[in-house]
Amino acid sequence: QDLASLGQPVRPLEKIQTKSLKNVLDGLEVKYNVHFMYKSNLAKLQLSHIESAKGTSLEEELKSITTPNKLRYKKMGDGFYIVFSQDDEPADAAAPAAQIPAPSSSASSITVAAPVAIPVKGTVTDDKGQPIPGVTVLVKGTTNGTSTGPDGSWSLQVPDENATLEFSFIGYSKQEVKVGSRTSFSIKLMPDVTAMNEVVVVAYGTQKKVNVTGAIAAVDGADLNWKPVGQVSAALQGVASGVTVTTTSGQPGVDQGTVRIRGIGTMNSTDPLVLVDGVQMNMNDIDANDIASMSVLKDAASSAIYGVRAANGVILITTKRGASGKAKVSYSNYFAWQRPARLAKYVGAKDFMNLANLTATNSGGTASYSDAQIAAYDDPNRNNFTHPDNYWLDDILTGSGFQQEHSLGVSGGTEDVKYRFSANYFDQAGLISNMDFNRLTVRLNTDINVTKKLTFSADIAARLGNRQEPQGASGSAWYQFGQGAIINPLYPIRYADGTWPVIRGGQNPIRLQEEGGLYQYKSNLFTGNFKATYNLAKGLKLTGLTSVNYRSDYNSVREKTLTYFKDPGTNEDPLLLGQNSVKKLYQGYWFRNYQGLAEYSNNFGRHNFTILGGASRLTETTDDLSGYRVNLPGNLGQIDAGEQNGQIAEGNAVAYSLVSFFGRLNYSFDDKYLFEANLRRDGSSRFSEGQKWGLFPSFSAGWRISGEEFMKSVSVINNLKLRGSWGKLGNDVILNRDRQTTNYPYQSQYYYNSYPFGGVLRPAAGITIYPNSGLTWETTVMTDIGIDGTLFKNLDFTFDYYVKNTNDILLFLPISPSVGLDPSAQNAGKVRNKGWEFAVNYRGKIGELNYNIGGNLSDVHNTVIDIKNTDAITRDNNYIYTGLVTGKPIGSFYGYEVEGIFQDAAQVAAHPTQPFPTTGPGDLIYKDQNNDKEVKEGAVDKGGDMVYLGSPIPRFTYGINLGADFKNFDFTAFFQGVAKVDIHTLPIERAPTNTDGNFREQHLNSWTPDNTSADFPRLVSTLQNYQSSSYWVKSGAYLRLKSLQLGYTLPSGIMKRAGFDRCRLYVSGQNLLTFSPLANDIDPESPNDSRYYPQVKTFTFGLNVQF
Amino acid sequence: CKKALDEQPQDAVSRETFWQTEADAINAVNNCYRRLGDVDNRMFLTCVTDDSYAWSNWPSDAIYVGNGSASISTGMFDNFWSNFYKMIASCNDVLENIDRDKALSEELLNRLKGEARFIRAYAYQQLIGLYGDVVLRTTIPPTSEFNVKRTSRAEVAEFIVKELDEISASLPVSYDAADEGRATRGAALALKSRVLLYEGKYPEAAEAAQAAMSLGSYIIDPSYLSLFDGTNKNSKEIILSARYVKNTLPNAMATWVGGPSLGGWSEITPLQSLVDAYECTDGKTIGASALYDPARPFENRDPRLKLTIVVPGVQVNGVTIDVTNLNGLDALGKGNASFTGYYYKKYVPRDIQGNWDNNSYNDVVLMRYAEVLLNYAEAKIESNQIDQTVYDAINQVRQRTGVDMPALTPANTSGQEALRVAVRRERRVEFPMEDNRLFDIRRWKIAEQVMAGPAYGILNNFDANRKDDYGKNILVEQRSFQPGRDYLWPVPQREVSLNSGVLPNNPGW
Repeated sequence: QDLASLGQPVRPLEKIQTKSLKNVLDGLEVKYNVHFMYKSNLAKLQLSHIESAKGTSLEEELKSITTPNKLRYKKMGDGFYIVFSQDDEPADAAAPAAQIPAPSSSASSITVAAPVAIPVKGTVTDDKGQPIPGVTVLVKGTTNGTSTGPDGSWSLQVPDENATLEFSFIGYSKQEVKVGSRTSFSIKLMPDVTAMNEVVVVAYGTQKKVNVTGAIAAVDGADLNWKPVGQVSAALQGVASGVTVTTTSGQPGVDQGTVRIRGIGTMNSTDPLVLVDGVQMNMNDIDANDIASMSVLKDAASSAIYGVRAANGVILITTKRGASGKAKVSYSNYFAWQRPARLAKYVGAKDFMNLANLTATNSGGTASYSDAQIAAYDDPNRNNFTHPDNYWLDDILTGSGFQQEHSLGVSGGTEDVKYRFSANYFDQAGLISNMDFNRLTVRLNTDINVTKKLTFSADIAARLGNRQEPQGASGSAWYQFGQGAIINPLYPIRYADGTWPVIRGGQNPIRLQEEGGLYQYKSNLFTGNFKATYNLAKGLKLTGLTSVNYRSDYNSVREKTLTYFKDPGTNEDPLLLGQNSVKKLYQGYWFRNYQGLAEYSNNFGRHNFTILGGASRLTETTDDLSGYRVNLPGNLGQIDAGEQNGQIAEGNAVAYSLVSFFGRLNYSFDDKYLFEANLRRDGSSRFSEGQKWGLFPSFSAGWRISGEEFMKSVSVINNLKLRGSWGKLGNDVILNRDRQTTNYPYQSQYYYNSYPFGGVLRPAAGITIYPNSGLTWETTVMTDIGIDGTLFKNLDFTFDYYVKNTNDILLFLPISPSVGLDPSAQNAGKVRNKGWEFAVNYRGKIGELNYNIGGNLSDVHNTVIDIKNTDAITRDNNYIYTGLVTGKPIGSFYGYEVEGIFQDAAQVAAHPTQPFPTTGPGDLIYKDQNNDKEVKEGAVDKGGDMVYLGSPIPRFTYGINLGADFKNFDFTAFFQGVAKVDIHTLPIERAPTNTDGNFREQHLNSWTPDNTSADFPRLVSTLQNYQSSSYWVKSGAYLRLKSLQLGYTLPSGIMKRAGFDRCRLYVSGQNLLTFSPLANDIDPESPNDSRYYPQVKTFTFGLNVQF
Repeated sequence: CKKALDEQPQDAVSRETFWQTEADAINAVNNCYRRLGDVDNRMFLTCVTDDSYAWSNWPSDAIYVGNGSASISTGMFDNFWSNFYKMIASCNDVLENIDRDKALSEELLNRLKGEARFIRAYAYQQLIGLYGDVVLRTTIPPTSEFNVKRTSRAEVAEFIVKELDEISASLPVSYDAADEGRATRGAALALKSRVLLYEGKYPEAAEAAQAAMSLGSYIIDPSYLSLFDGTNKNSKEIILSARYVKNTLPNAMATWVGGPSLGGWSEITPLQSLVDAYECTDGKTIGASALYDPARPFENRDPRLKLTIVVPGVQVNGVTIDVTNLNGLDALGKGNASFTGYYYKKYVPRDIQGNWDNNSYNDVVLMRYAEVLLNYAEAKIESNQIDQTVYDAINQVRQRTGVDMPALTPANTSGQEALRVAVRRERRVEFPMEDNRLFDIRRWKIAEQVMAGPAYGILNNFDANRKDDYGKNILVEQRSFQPGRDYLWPVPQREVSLNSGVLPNNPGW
């Protein structure tokens, strides 16, 4: 670290407006990475002859400043100078003898007095244990001082034990330490979070935090990269208020989180726009270790300048950049072991057979398993091949679950050329053999001062991702876990003779892991980001940005034919399963973005303003190609090895372009009254002629109350700002009915297909969609009121309330099936999100214990306002009814209200007719909502008896951060939770209706005539109990200890000798504890029927070193 | 900027610029055929009759329709309705636009129009058979006409017949090998005979069937099973089929029909009722024949029994399937094994290659010459014009090579009633798994007898462990049939909620 990296803008000498001594020396500090000390009364000294202040070395420049201005300077140590008035030579200016330089000609008049008593020394580090160079160390009340070296070390002579040492550094809280009897000091400086000059990244630039008028959550890169997760989106969970991240899978490489900012505003795409260093990108395509900071733009004012793509919020990511100075190398790694966080538990073979028999007999059928079959399981010496008792969901977990990451960073440079290179390797083996992921990321960020006015930066990055899965059907993890969750315990895994049995009529998942073909997914991304900035005139800056990304996805799906036997021992009837085939899929993606920006800022007295204008052109092209052949010999896996007969080739390409013009005005008066306006005009290729262009304005204002005179006396309030904003945003991402982005939503097209005549496929072409050429943007209008404050210096808080109305939502309003065409999207819906967000952070110190506590809490309430009277509830494959109903949240659960369990036939007969004629004693009682004596399917307002049962959209999401360090130990814990959400447990908790499936322990306590007080309805083969009903809708609230880390930094003395600046060891864990009212084998964070790859619990050991 | 924002699909052509070439028109007509197959629904139609049972509610929830527990939103009702209307829309789009295509000769234009009108007529025949009164759409409707009333079944039938009459002349009797599978004049006539028979217009039905027979282009194929197993796709018996191709256009037939030892899921399995319908080789029913031995119930039976159904010990593609082998994969209670104890052999592809999910390529037979003959016979019987041609027609079917059942003669079967019984039984044992049975039990008004009450599977005299049914036929399920309601499917929920014009729904729904 050096000065330049700490948010202090790099100002060349030419830019200095007032030629005060302070200004000039500040410039030199930056330029030469040195530190000056001078008396405060000299700071405003106006310098003369400054034009000549150009030299080739620091000494020359200093001389040209000091001599004509009746000043002198003195070098006190490496990179540390004192400047003083000619006639005010410091009598006690002292430095350790060893550091006193040989008198040079330019300083020949200085003599050094040396009445020093005690030598003291030490190191200064930041809160993370990183050494800080350049920290000013001063004996209080004197000019006797030094600054820390590159490794954070310092040494000094103090006059006596009563001296007090002062440690200060920009961006950190000043610290004072009494010398006493100690001679060695390990000082830890805490970041000064309330610093007035803290800067946040905003659209097309940065802004001082105190001046921000929009709702922006800033996240430090360090808050993301300490977690042992493979995806940036997963690390973002719970970190910022108003940002909800849900992860449904723990599968290596596909465990990305779904990021929602301020809830779900539309039935279309709700993914936020992510820009990395100003260019649109998927956040999971960069490595968390490369992130310097992340800003989440939540309200319309801060994001409207991104216009049509901003309706779901915007996330700005900046990557770490180099700083001048000698090369610094950092390396960190970790090794981790994963286990399923929660795994569904099923009953064993004997209970299974009893429950299957009970199901059959309850339903009027015959028992499937004889007493003899069941009794055989009482024999502990039974043949396990003929009488297996398998827990398949656990048996399929054959993988090591071992995970490791290595991350290397090298940065440095000169003042004119700075670089940072990083390489990260992430490798994650799955819970299942051959279900793995690894990723190599490299990045080189360079900054070049071409001339004094022209700067250029070139950032080049590459990511090579490689994921694989064993052969499966309809998705490998789905096949593995889907089978694992359904296969009953009576299926043998393997016969005694080593041959394999068929499982449920299909392939044996464990065999596929061992002997099946492989599915491989290679995803490579190359990005280039080139930016030139020219300072045309005072306050006027022109920037050009070109970005070119290329991604290639290369997938290979190899399947093999495997032989199974149904008659172990004789093996006479082989059964071949699986198509011996290979499919290769290639997808190329080209992204080009050209942006031009002009920015002008100036001030007139207390009026400050900045104007920004720009234009952008963006194009995206995606090109697919796939080939397929069958009957490949042996283990060969390439297309050429297969048969030409029956081969398939497919391909298509789609394109998207967006042209934009935008502008922004920032105005502030006296740094107290703040105003900002944005305007964006976007043209999108996704709409028809005449509908392509949209206009998106926004306005915001802020009042820094703490800047007013009358607040100066209120000492507990250090900072207080009230802000409000209004703006309009767009969304041109339109999903088709398969939830895929469509680039040509308005067009009525004949799409090609095929149908055979004479045994040969012939082309066929037809329309399938009822056209709508009048499509246009979805528009989101958001109003936000917020307050930011700092109390007692260490307590920061921010609160926002907002209303977000999305209009013209593109809906596929159903049209009657007899029209025979699928509906195209129509601008028909209106949805409102109302919510609030609160975040608070406190830093404190007790003796040597530094600690911080932070938390955030957000709520968003989603309501469908208008969908053109197409309120409908629809049933999915799991028999769950969800609704798109006016006045209710999107996707709410609907179903029958359960009144209890029928206890006898008379009760069934007396009750309004149930929807299923098979209903009998032991079944759930569905309430007759409309008193028509008949309980029917369908919503109440449509004559049915189904009512609103709850919403799966999380409300009251929160995150809690705890951090502490004591001496060399540091500790961090991160909790995340949801206080209110409903989940539909029907697919999870229902019992199977036949022998295909598994019973849970709760099914053992089902209703029978002898067990009438049971919680669970009787087990039957018909579906009357397995309907969408209030019985199954439960609270999914949870609190999870997401991440926990304990670190130890080795004493610096030892490390120094080993050649390291710093070395830290740590252990950490992920998903260690979960609190939820659900059964303890249901994962509340990703509640599903266990047919998905579960979330994982991770135990990690790692290392950070620096040299 | 205008140009910068102009992006067009590169795999599709807009409606305005499409109808330019001969290929455009042919391709659009080809598209009309694509929904004929619909294996995942159509193959399950047999399970809503007394022939078969479906144990799983996926991919089709025929199980609920079969046992009378369906509701208006049951998927099967929606699937058939939507599929046929999509088929109709593709035909209507052709008929609305094809005249814009100036590249077509008049002959080709007429043929292509005829094909599209034929497919549309076929879809309406299926719709009225399933739902009764339906929405009659002959154009892609403007939005103002989304909400319309239903047209009566009789009027739609008249429309179908009129359409078929108008197109018969422009459809060729046969095609070159490369166009095998397109709608022919014979198909139009066969469909006409079916529609008229189903509407009870017997003399006209007989006449239409006679016209199809007179074409002379169809035969009764000597190999019954080959019509359905993918090895005889161009048989001269097949009048209309939905076509599939190995690898490139496969279906999931093997999965739905095959048993575990064939890698299938036994989703469509025969019931005892169907097994019992096959005569003994002496031409008498099992109740009347001296050849029937309850101890060996599958011997001396109409050969179509073992061609159609896997009774214990029958081989399919070289694999012996025997439910009485208690350790075998196909035994009762084994995963994915039959719940009735029987499996179908008919429609199991001869060549199953690959996984459960989609690797069959046998065609779905929609109309064949045997139906024309039996339509003719039934129409003549019902109009009481019984002559030797009636016996000849039935006997051609009964005496197919490899079936060779004793001929019906005026001596052994005389009179309208006896012949009615004979032709109805003939239809049942000839057409299992084809759509005829559902329409037949409806128009014969026998559904409340055959569809209500217990549905049984095989006689369990081999598994003493199953003490509940040992010595008895397996009870598969209890079915209910409400005569006031279940003779027609309801207009499905989605149509009802979006198009109130279709209300009132069919009685009872």
